[in-house]
Amino acid sequence: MRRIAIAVLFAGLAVATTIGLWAPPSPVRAQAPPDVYINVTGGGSKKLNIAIPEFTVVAGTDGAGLAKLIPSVAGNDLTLSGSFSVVAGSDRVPANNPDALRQIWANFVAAGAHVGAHGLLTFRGDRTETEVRLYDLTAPDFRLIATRKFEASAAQPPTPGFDWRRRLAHRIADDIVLQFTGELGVADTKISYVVGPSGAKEIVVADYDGVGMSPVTRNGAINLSPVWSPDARSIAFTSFMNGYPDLFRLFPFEPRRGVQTLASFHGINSSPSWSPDGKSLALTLSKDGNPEIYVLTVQSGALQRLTRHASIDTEPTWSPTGQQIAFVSDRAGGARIFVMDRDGSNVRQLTTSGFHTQPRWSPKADTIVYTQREGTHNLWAITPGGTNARPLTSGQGDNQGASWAPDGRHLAFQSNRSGRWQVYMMLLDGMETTQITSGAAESTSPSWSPRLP
Amino acid sequence: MHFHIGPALGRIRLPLGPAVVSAILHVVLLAIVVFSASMWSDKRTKPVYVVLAPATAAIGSPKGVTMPPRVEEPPAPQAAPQPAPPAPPAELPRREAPRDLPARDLPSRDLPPSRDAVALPDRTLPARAPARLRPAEKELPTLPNTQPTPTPTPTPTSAPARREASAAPPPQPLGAATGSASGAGPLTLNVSDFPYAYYIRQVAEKIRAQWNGKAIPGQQPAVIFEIRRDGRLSLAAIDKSSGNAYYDQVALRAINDAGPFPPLPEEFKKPMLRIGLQFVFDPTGG
Repeated sequence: MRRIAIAVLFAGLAVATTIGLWAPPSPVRAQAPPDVYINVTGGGSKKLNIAIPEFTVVAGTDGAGLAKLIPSVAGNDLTLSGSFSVVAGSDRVPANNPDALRQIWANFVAAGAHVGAHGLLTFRGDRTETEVRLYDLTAPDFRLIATRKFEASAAQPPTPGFDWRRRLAHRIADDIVLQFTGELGVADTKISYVVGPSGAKEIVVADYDGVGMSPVTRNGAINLSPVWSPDARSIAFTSFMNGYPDLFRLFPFEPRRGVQTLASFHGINSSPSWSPDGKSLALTLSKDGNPEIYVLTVQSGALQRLTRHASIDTEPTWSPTGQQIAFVSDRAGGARIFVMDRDGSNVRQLTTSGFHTQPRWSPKADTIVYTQREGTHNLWAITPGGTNARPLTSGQGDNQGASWAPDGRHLAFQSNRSGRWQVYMMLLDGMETTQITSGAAESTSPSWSPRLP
Repeated sequence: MHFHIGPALGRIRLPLGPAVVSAILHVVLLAIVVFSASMWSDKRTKPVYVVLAPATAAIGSPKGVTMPPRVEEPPAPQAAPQPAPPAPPAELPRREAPRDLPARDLPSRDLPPSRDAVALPDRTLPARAPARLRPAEKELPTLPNTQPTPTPTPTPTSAPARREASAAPPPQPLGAATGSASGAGPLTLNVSDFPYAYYIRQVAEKIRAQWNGKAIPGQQPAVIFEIRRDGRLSLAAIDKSSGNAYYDQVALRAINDAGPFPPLPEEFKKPMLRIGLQFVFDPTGG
């Protein structure tokens, strides 16, 4: 028996060793070899050059002019996305003519295009079907990458600022952004802001690109600080319509639905911030003497006080997890940003040495943007851990009141760099600043909506 | 059949010492055989090499290049001067490259070209490609015309597809299809395995954006990761350690933070795209 055992031991040893050697050194190598190898070094980011020729009508009549409108609107969306450069070209693509399409792509390639998007429109009564085909123009055969379909109806009920044609274009643009970057675009969103001279300020809603502006308050009073609810169906705002700064809520896409009063306590009712689940609002009330932060449960009206301090505590902003709230307090001297847990406990100071207001927590959680007073005001960003504080604007007028786009990548804000307050947007790195409002009236206090339902 | 150890054999004392030595020798020998076999095995890797570091410089500057439409048409006059990729690299048998380039050799092989290219100012890059391609013009002017273009097949490794790639030049901005990491173009790729240059470019850009600022001078790791059809990251692991756990973690985090990636192209049928990635520290970059 002993000899057999030893023989088995040797055999086993040999087998085990063999297996051990054949087995890959790590689980990763056990699987197939890579399909592709890449080297990555540092360097600046580069945009993808995209060509969007006029769409082709396959069936029906293009009464709404979508063949030209969609490439134009979506092209602007892609530019604003910050990830694309749109290659200009006015080629018309005839239906059912692959050779002609190939020639057009070749022309766009000569003009620098990397990828192409071409749409086929089918009109049936009120309905519009759009098939968008995406091509890799860097491949020798202009390879098809994806085919996407969209439906829209002209029979949708008209609501303020809703143009179904532009919305269709925005949705197409957002999908193109998704296909090429992995993250949905933010073109199918709205922006709400305050328009008017100092006597009366009304709240308006427009497409995120500033087009199709339409007022949603008409009370002739001062209306301030609109903030979209997480479901993008309502807007909380402070209004003096009853003579005092009270907090209300309006429903911009339901014209017959009236304004709802959220808080009308003695003193200030201001600076609302929706909880991520949309059930509560953090807000500032001065009903107990000096401004403190409370959480209001919208359905029940229940009120929970979070801060108790002799200093001013105001401008709460909820973290996207709902677990923390950042706010402004002057308890450490000048106005600084603090963070506390959702129940008001565990308060810690985020910024030091400076005058900081208007904190806004990124929907991606990793950044808080705020306004720093430095002669004029500029937008700064910091991590919730208090590191990597950095300016986003500088040297261009006064810049305040940032509002995050749902991608956590774009910001809307107000600036007077053109001589009058207007709303601008930029990327989180401070690049790609674009003015999105214009005109004689001042536009301030933007709120970028979540993605529309 | 039964084997019995007879009584005589059973009485013999086993030579334990020599047996152990013999076993060890066997194991060592086996190890050597297996190891060298795995070194030379060409089944392990059949990768496409993409040196992407300076690619965007060239990608962004194709202006002035007239692309012949890729062709069922009669030879357009401009088709002849259109540079084709150099024939020799394109004709290389696919399996040669992997044999010379197991995954662990990647860093040393890829470093020199990318360093060169990175050091070049952007505007010099486009000029390189034509210069390199010029010889091919003499050799291959008639290829696009004489060879009827088969319909593009997604089957990646077929010989016709490969020849087609060399016959119909890819757009200038992407560099040439060489099937080898040693291509001199800023971005070299073999169009036969994963022919979606835009996709690789976008993935590299997203990782670059996350890794920028976290770049650390020193040896950088090679990482393997997989992208699902919907663009989500499914796996990321160190393929070749930098020798420093912190650098390894920084690289892994860059990949995790870079996702989600674009959905995989519809015509690429695998459930996952598997990418081998080498970080290259560039002291001049971002």
